[in-house]
Amino acid sequence: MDNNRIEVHFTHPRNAQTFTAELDPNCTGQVALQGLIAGDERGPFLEQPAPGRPYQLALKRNHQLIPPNTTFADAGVTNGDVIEVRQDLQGA
Amino acid sequence: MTTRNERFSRERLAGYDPDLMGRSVVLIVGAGALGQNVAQDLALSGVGEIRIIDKDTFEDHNQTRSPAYPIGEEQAQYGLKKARAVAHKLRRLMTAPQARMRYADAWIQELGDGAFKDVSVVLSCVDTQAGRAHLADKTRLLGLPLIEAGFEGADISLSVYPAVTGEQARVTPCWRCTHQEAVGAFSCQFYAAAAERAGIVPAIQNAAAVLGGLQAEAAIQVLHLEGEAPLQTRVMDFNIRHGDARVLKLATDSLCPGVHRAFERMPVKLTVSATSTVGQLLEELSQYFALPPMVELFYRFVWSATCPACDRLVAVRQPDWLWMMDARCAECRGVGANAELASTISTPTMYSQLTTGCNEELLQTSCQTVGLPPLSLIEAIDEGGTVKLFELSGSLDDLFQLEESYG
Repeated sequence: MDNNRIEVHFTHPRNAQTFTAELDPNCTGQVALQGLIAGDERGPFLEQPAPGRPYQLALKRNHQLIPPNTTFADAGVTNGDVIEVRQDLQGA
Repeated sequence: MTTRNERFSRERLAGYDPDLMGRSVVLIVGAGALGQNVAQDLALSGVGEIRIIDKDTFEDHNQTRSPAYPIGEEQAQYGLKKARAVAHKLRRLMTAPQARMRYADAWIQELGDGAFKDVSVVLSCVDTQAGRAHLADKTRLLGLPLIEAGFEGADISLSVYPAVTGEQARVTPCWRCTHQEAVGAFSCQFYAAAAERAGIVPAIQNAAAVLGGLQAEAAIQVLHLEGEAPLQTRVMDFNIRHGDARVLKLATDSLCPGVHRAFERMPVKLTVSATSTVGQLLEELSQYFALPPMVELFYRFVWSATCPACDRLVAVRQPDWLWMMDARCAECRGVGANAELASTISTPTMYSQLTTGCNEELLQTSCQTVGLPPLSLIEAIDEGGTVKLFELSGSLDDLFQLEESYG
């Protein structure tokens, strides 16, 4: 693994699946989510979000959301961290 | 005879201050399943004034999760408009000594800043992203706490945004920090609105009741503890079937498109009203400035736009939030939502500022029409950079109806 990159594990919002990725710490939350939607050779990890139901990322270690334009480095993400994907709820 | 102390004795033991509750004004935006459940809880809990806003009409399927659904003669007497029917049904449940229930059959954007006047806490019970974004921006600008909530099936979610001013308004997370697709551009707003119109969200009473209770309690905690309230700048997820729960800390996004400032000054009360013209407004404002003032509109005023259905230029004369709800010319409306709007509406004529240099017809247009209803807060700036805050004349009675059936 490139010394400048970190390995993180994403958990799916609705099932037990995880997705492990090597990322540049300067990757933002938004870019990471785009990557999870694009997926890899196995297919997308996340389906396209319905309008009004955006995905959000949260660092499991400190229970803090990672905003779309915040880098993983600024959010304190380090090698081996688990990132939870949550999906917002629309109804009222 | 029941005395007041007896009535609230259990609430006092639970830590509530009935006097504080009785002085409090809560604004509930959205009178659907969630709005009704939270309004019911706050009415019973002794909140002094409840304001309910909803433009929607009850449909038959709403009945399974609507404690305030009008039945029998009530439908004939009060109709099926949600705000009125809910206000009527829940007014009788209010336990505060001098309880007041106001309601408005309107979009929250339509009511402007006046809807928030003297409000202690705002509860977002809307199911549109545009409505949620509006509440996030307005509460931040006005320095009010916001309790945001949503649910789908058995999953519920609640987040608490505190009242902040000054530097805290800039650095404290807002709802839009993590919901950046919601509004901002024409295309995004239309896309979200169209999707919401088409979408069917699973909804059950048990989830609405649990979430309504949580939201009401969060509001009561904010009333009592202000900046020390539990769950502030937190989002809580909970599944009512499995009991799975999670609390996450919200975070501020440096590129958040939302409002991250608060008005810092008391407004000067104007004599002009919502029925006055833009020209009359600018004339009165000019008395407070050495140089000609300019008014920045919260929502752009669409003067003309291309109908996405027929490509003809049409006179719109509406704030952009209203135009985007059904952005078609009068002839084309009724055909169904047009999802191509974003790509075809490329050169609309819009005003984001009002100055004496605007076209004469606009200067003769009423403040209400350009998006300045009664009690609107107007931030004006002159060429020298002097900024002042003003309040359009009017009263709450211009915006809300008072439910008096059980007063």
